[in-house]
Amino acid sequence: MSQFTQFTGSAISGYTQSSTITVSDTISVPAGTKRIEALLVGGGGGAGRGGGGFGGAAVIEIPVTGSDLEVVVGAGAAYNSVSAGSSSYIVSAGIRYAEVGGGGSGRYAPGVIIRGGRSGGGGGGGPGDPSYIRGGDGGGPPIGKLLWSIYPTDNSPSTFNYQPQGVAGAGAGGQRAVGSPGTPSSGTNGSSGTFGGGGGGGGGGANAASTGAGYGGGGGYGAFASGGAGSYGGGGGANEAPGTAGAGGSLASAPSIWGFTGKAGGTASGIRGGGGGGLLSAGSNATPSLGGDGGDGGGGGGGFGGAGGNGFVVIRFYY
Amino acid sequence: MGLYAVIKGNLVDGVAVANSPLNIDGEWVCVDGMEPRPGPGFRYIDGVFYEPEPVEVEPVPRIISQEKFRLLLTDSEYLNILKASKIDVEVEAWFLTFNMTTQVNLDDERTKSWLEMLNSKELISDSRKEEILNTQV
Repeated sequence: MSQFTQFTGSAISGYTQSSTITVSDTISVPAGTKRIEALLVGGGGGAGRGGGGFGGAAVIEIPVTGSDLEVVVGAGAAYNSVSAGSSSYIVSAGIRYAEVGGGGSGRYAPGVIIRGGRSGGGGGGGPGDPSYIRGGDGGGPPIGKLLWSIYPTDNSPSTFNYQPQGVAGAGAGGQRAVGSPGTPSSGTNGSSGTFGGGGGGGGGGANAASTGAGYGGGGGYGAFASGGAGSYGGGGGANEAPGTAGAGGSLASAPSIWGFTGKAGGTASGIRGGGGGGLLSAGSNATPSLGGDGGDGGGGGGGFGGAGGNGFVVIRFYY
Repeated sequence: MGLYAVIKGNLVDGVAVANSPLNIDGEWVCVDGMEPRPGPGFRYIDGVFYEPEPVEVEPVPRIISQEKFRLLLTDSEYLNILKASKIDVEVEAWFLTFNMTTQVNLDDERTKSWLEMLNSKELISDSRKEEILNTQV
């Protein structure tokens, strides 16, 4: 309590929490509010061949302006979209005070690069072939006065070949391996961001497997090998034979926040990847004919068919 | 519940989940049922959505280490090249140059001409030359 007094000049005695806002709306600020905090989760990225990136989740302080809060809930991206998932954000008195997400797309098409994440969203998974297309970069940190981010800070969700973290908190996408017959080698994994999203995994190429994704990144497509698993809400990458597709990244190990607990990712099926777990629902399991959708609350879609989950917002009004 | 593209200028900033257009922070246009569904970065001109301009990505040259290039040759091919280098100055020149390099760019014209020279001297076959030049890295 003394800490709140230190920053606000008057004592905080409690708070009221909004319902889970899954549809954009205008929210009135209760009289007597001294401080506002919002949990924002962006829309997950849609899958292509690679998995879509997680939408990102963060708590951001919103200034008390005397005006209502315009809350915009970002949609998850459709399967095979060239665009990323959309941001969830809050506008008050005409100013965007907070923005989180969304996750990058896992689609690759000639001439169209894998879409990176935005404002804390993870990058989409790499396509595997051609080799020079990396996984999508994670987005930079969310916009606003950041109080909490869902991403761990250890920068080491996997075990090998991590790149240095990217600029301004974003994680760089993974690079496909360079190998030669009989001497397979590992490419670089997607790196994890500091408050920003992690990069998508590199796709699997000849003589090498897909590389790992940074926190929130989608799994890379296994052009010649197994598809990569998504990380922390990222969708799993699809694959071509031999091997299997990647599972959706689980958020179950993420710290609970305001009563929300991360959900599991979906399982892969054949060549199709599982959906990434969200903060509201689990990622869907892939079927033999469709990649799994990302769970609502930011999950990225699984390769070959999965759409990203929608975002949401929750607001606490301290009095 | 529907989906609305939020447009700033001529660009889609994002797609919002909403029951009706809030028209804050831009123009809101319903995109329910559109295929492909507009998303961030789409252009919106005279009431029509267009996909983002493709971004061309320059191919990264296929560069491999000297050791990996050596391993692309079979032991038999390598030994025959080594033997030929003792009696053929062209092959010797290639061999000396190869030993000065640390990396080989498979997309470099010089690499192609090297392999064509080795092929012309029947040190590697046509199919092996193509296989090496088309190696995926």
